[in-house]
Amino acid sequence: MTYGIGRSRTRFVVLALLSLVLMGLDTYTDSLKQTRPIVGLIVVPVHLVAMIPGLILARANSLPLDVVRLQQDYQALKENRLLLNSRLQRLEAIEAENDRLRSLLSATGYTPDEVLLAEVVQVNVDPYSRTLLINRGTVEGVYEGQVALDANGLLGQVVRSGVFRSTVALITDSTQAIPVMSVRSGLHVLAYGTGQGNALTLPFLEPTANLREGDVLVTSGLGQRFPRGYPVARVTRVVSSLEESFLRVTALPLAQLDSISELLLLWPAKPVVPSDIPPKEDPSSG
Amino acid sequence: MVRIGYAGKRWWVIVLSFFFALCFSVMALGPMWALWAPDWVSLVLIYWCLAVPMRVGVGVGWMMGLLLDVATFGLIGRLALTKTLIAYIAQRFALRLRAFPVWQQACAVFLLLGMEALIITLLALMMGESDAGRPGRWVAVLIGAMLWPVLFISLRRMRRWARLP
Repeated sequence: MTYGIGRSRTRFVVLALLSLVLMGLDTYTDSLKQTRPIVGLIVVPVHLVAMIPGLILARANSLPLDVVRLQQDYQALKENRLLLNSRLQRLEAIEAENDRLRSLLSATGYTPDEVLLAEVVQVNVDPYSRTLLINRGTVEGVYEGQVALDANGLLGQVVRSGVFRSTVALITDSTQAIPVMSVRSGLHVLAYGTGQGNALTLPFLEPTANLREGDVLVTSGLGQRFPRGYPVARVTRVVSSLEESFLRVTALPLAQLDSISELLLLWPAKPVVPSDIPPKEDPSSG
Repeated sequence: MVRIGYAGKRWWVIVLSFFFALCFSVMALGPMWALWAPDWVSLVLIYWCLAVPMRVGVGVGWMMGLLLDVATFGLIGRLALTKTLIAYIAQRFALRLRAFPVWQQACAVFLLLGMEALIITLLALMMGESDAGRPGRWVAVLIGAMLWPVLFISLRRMRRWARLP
């Protein structure tokens, strides 16, 4: 370490300059990306120990205090599960039919995506950015740009992945823009996060655009980032005024952004295909 | 930090104190904690630079800053720079500061933490971060300085137990 207080000035200058170089490298290049997980391994015990108080608190909070409440919750969950199972059966039948129809038309088949359940470890309290820390990392195969969902819709994507934990930016974060499509009208548009509140904004729409309040927006698959078909938001306000050249549209995300404790991470089964149009019918199979 | 051959001295105490400082920095105990929590690593670093300036100095500060950068998923080198600076100043004035009463040391700690917060804010402004002027950072500086006497006494007790000079 130090061999004398006199020598520390040189050491200080060297290390300060080195720090500046590292900051520059990290900001402008990707060369430090590989070293992060390696150094991150040293820090893993720190994260593990740091999780302990959180786990104790969570355990204490979840102790059942009301048996009646528990029974009611259990009943409700059982009923919900039965309902979901019946819907799932119908979904499987429809998927099978879809596959058959597609193969008849010589189009590529649809395979389901793989998912991984993750728990939210920490919610970012920063009022200007909407991100969460989850308990999955590169050991489970999490990658930057990976899509996160909850039971109701798209939640966001992974922006940073450490060895055991990763950061997910919600769709309402100011850095996020999702390519979406209206289910009713097929209109393709981008849904921007505002960083404030719970709303998304859809800018740059002409006043004649075919969008109404209540329209459901799903991912369109354009841009190859988000696979097609996942619900994102519902349009809540469409304001068209004569002074402005664009509509002012606000949409509310369908995912429960306020009460996230678990989410699903997605691995798309195959590269996302933006167009759903099957090729022309093969004359020999007609 | 740990040298073999110094019989009877428990140098690992320093490592342990830094480890727990890192853990506390990373811990998530709720929104209030994250907003105002003081920089434990800085406080522990200042203490050991004052107490054992021959052993704990700029190098240790740099490494701790780097580990903290990685642990908090931040820009690599940012906290390394500030901790190096803190360690340098603390080491330079170690002999003088040690002679001060604790509450005067707390003022010096306040200045050091404030300097770090200033540098971080400036860097954040340069990066164009939206939360550059976060007031919670300055509350954390104040809380850190107020916690100094407690930390000083606890770490001193640990140091004496470890028979470190």
